[in-house]
Amino acid sequence: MQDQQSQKSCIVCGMPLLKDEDYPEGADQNSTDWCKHCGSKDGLKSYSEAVTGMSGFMQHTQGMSEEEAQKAAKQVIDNCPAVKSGRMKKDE
Amino acid sequence: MRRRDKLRTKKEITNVAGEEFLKQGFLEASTIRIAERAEVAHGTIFFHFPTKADLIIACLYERLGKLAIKLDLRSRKTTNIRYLCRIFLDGIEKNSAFYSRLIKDLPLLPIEIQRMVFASLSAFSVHFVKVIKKAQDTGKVRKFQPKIAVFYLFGMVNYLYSYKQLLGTDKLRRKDKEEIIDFFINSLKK
Repeated sequence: MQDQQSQKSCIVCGMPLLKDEDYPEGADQNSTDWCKHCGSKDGLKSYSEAVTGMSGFMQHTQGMSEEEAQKAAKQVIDNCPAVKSGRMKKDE
Repeated sequence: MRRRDKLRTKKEITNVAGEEFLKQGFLEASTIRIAERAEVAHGTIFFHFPTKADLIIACLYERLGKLAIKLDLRSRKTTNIRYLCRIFLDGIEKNSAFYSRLIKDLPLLPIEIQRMVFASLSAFSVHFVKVIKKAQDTGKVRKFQPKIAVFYLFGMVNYLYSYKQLLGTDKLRRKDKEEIIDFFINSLKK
């Protein structure tokens, strides 16, 4: 869920970054604004990896069909701060 | 100062939009009316919220974001599904008018908006899936796809809140809620 307030959240999936375990292993939390599912300490996943990952997540947690989950994931990621700011390139 | 003004404007738009969505419905609520009531230019709405889906999700988070975080934090420490169900039901009850309206209108909205809102609702279901999986791994709950439990739990909650008036959902006693939760929990057990 994309955060609209001061709560720090992942710039890809919107997951609130509440605890150490939410960040990628070894990441500097002060300079990392993505979660462990959307990147590593070295950087963000690629766009296609992020879409695939989020699609799987929605199928697993919401029971969405593969086709709709893929479309929903693409919509969410296309609108996420990481893509809008250019930090995650859509054509990767 | 400018950042604070932007945040304040965004919050005002979200508050007004939430009221309009409640009053007019998610489909009928007009961004023109929201702009008038929030005393901003119409374009300002789209500066902060490029699509209606973004505005709906902002309202959803404004009202239910704390519930999602509470479920997140509790689900990390517990395999007590009953406890999570209580938190969820109590949280939805506090925002029952908004939640009722959302689940009634969601199927009528354009599919693109449905997808975005549905994706946001993963912020709730993921914690049940996590806890059920933990309970399965420790043998407390039988093996099945955790998302099936989500269908039942959310299906039940959505039924209660789709027909809130007819079912008297807001007047459910604690005892009734516990019985509903009992039924759900028993369906998971071996």
